[in-house]
Amino acid sequence: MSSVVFETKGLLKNFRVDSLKVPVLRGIDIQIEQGEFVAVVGPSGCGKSTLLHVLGMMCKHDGGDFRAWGQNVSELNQRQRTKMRREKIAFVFQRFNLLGVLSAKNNVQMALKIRGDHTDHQVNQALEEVGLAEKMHFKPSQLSVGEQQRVAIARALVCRPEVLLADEPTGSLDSENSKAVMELIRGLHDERAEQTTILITHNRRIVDAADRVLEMIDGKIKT
Amino acid sequence: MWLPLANILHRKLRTGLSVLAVGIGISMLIVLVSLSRGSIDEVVKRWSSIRAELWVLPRSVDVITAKGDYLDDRVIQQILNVKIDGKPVASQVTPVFKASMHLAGQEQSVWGIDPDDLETIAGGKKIIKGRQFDAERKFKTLIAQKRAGRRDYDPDSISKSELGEGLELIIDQRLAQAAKANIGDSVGLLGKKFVIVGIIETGVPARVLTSLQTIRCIKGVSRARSTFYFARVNKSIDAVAAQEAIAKDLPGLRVERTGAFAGILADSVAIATIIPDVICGISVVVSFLFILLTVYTMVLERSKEIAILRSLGANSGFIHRGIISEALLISVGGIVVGIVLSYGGKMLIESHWPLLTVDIKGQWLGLAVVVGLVGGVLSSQMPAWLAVRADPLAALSEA
Repeated sequence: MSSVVFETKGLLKNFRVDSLKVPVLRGIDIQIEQGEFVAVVGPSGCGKSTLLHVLGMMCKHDGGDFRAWGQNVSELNQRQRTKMRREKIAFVFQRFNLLGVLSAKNNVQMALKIRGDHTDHQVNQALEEVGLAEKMHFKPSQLSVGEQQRVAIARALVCRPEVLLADEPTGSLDSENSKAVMELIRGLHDERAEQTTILITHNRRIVDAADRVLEMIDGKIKT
Repeated sequence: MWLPLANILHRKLRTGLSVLAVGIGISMLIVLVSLSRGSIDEVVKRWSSIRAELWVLPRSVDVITAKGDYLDDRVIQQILNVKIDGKPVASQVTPVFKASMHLAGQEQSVWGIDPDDLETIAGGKKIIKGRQFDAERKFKTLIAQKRAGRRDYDPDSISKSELGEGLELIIDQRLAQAAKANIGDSVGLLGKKFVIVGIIETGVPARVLTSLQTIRCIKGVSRARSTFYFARVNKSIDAVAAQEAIAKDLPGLRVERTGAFAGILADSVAIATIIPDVICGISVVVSFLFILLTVYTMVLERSKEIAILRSLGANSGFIHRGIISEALLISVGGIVVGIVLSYGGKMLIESHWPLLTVDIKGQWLGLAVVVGLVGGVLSSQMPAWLAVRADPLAALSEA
């Protein structure tokens, strides 16, 4: 029996531009279940990335109901939200967001270190899974964009998160690399039966690969 | 690699400049403190050679320059007459007539002492080259003859050639090296040409010693007068009790224990230590403002990195520790550079001004380490606080 990972009702999020309040999420109602592979699609500026950040607790929502693993996120303080993110959620970004001063291995290791775990074996295994074992000592600037994204995926998955949030993970890649990265994400998702993956994409191939597609327009989910 | 280390190594020039700035601050702290304290300690150490427990001087005299009224040597007998329970408190009183001269690029204190009192003043320090001034007591005997038992004599009755016998002095080894002076060299003192006749081991209270009689004669002092006296306390009497007894019986005199000279000197030249302390305080603050600026710039530049760490689940403590670690790494580098620079500075100062003492003690190095580490932690607090408060989303959305 599947359990609900994220559930939102009337989720609101505004941004402030100077003194102006700009609504970005205008009442999102979604329910994501454990093990789902969900694609979020929509035009630029419709609030996809903001939704992902709210779900990943990188920022607080301004209204509505948001429950993660059954807990009301509004009732969690920053420390508790950070702990939940650290223990259960991982991000993959369009621009990889690797730490440029560290090697591929150290980048992956950092995710474990933040959790207080220093297992070298897991790091090596994660890099092997993304096919970069031989380049583990390379710095991001010495890797191709496709390889950088694979390091970012290894970093996200090394901690075996319950939820992977990917914000246009193929957005900066050519078609060949996009395909490879997408296959990697889907393959790793399938290997980990309990992992939930939510990704934002414009890529038709990824949309086809998703179990469910949520379409957003103007800060709302199109029904 | 550890992230804070990787970060500071990534910007080598900026890190190097920061380390150097902290190093300069730390070295100024070490050198100035070692110089001010070292110079005082060196004088105090030299004073410890005096074989007398009490220092007696006019109330009106300045203890450092010893400028002021002279005392009539009748005081010697008055001191010797002071008793506790019928027993004289002092067994010996040694007069000193103080003057000054310019040698080795700075003002030197010259003590005119009786040639027979050298042992008392020099405390066993040996003449390593040449001989004592007025070694055959010719000039001392001449003055005694002129005085012929009277209190007064006419210094003008001493002929030029007679005075020539007394124009001798000895200097300590350190001054000899600093002035590149040797036996037979002539030096100017009180408008006369004195000959260096001996070099004594370093460690005597005044670097230049000459005949008491000669100095008085040149100064035109007809009656035996002195700048101050050293009194040796009888063995069975406590020095403090002797000090109090003399002060009570001779209220016009200031009586100090020679052992307390360190404190008297420190109090009198407090300004000489306060100024270096203020300078090093300012230099240390400026150095740490440099760390603050460096770490602050690093935080501004690395808002994205901080946001990435946030996305990986790093809490405020993790971010805070990372920033402080970077500041501490710079501080540790600065401390190492500062210590190296301090020893370089010591060599430079002591080679250019050989009479200055830069006494780098473990306690000053320890102080520098503590100041460096505490300064590093404190100066990183504001940038660390900003890093913790930074909005991760704004940084992640940057190109």
